[in-house]
Amino acid sequence: METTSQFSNDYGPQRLSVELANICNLHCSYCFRSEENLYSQRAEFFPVELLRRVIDEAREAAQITRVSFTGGEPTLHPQFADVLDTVAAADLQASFVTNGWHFERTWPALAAHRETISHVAFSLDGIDRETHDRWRGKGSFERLVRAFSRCYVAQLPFAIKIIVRRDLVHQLEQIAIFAARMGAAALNFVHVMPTSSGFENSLALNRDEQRAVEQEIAILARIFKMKIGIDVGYYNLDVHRAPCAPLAGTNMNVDYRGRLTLCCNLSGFRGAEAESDVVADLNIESFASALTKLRALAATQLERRRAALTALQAEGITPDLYAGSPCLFCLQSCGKIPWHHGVH
Amino acid sequence: MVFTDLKGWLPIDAVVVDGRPGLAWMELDGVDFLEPFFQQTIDRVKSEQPARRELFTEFDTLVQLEQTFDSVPPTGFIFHSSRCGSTLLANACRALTGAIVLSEPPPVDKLIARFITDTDEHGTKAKLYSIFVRGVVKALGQRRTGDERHLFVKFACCSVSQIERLQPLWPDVPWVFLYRDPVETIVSNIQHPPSWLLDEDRRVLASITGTSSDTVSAMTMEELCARAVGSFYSTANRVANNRALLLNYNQLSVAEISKVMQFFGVRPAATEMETIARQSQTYSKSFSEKRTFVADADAKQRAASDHVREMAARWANGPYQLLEQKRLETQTS
Repeated sequence: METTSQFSNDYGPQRLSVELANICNLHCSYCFRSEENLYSQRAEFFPVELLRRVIDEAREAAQITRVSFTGGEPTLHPQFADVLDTVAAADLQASFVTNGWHFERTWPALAAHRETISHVAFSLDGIDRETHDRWRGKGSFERLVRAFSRCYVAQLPFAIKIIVRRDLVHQLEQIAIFAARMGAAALNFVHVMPTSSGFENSLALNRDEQRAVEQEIAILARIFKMKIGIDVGYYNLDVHRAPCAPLAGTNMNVDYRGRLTLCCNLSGFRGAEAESDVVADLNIESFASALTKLRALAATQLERRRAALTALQAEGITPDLYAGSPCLFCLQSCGKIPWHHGVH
Repeated sequence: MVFTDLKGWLPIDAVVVDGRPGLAWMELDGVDFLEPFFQQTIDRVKSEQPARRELFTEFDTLVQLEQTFDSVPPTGFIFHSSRCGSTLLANACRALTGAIVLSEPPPVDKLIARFITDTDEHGTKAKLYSIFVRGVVKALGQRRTGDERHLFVKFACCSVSQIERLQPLWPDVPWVFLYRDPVETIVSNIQHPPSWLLDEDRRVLASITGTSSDTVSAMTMEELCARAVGSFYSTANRVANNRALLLNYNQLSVAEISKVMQFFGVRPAATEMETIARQSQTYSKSFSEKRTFVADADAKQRAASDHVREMAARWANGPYQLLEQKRLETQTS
């Protein structure tokens, strides 16, 4: 069964991904965002004025039709309603990823911008209170389910994102049932982005396990109407096509400091020792100029990946996850996971 | 579609549309399942009221709706080896006040067949189909007048092959397995071949007989039937537990039906028993045509060809005897 083509054909609309805040109200141990940014540094929020300029320029230079907001936790942005105003004024669609904790507080702004919001993506860690709250804190599951209900009743499409930890591998169909029962429009599985060898050993799947999971997810995708797929990190040896939205030039990420970076998964990675994924500071540089650099970096990274995979194949070596998974390849080659050594 | 739009609708078939499995629903407000078979009711409604609406939904809709159903929990299940009095028993259940009787509903039995015909190495589909089967039974068991108290499901004979997947869904629901002498069963099936024996997709029968589709296609109908019913007997023998009642066709009587009801936890009223007694004297499988039931065991035995006897002896008599032994032991204990 082929899984890669199932998940790699559609990278969605041209879009900007913007980190609205560096902080988060929850402390999920496996989170790949820098702990220092999330919890120690001063809270920083993406300036609305800068957002307005970046959106205008990105629309012109990259024909974006959508802006997706991440963080940290984007709903912590004190001017969240103004952020949505800005997207609406540009006549674009907005979406955001949230842990759902502050959804009730955020709801009036969402309701006021219903036409602007394409969907909301919620992070889930388990299909019952005990499992989810173990990772995200007491009360988190209840708030999340309430948020699902809010969206469902208001017919605001929502997606559920869930990291495929080792302990969830045997519940994939239950997760799909749960998501369908909640009325989700999409269910996005995400492979673990390991931030240490300890987390990798305890939470992440090896290559064969990942492939088995990907096959199961492909089965689920064929049974449910709800869109089911793997967001990032799936094993993919195709060197002829860009393996992900950032490398395909479909998704452009701006971090909370206003810097254009290659990918939201690389940005502010926990334990990183390099920032080669950052191409420009949009506070002082135009989006068009920065985009040229981003495209050059994406082309370089694609070529680097192609060369690595081709070399391995020429030697008859089956690439390991750190070569076969585009996310892990970029994490390693961009100096984000210095604790990991060796690649095949 | 918002779920409230499906109030009064019931799933009537398990289908695949554009490669995606799902359910065909029909607007069935005010329709009672009076006929001996679920499909007969659907056919009647379609014929009498062609304007009734139908629609297809994926299973997403079922799992959403399931939370909203006000359903009667299953009272008892009827499994059988075909042509052995199971329809008579289902009809008797229908005589009870407040009973919903689902007799071989296609959405249930077709989903059960998918345990065989739509599999994957991870068991993902089997787990999903289990959940969907439970959901469909819940959908069909919805209270529609508010007075329903009992829900009986009679499964198609082939579904007994998957009983080990069904038991965990309803571990506390009592079930009866009805069966009959293999020669009589085979003769009845040969005289009037049922759809399960004629199914051009041979995968279900291949699984039941432990062979391949090609092997099934090469079998005479006598052999196929003998091997299938032999398998049904063996399965029932293997899985019968303290929630199971084994019942031979030759035991069937009004008194025995009353015992089955009690086994299901139902104590029929005198008037209900009168109805059951009256019904048991008519042919069970026809609703409109009130033919008098005629005991036909001797006739079936006389009609059996040498080939039928040979196949029964080779494939079914042994499992039948073992099942009888188990029944008698259970009765004694």
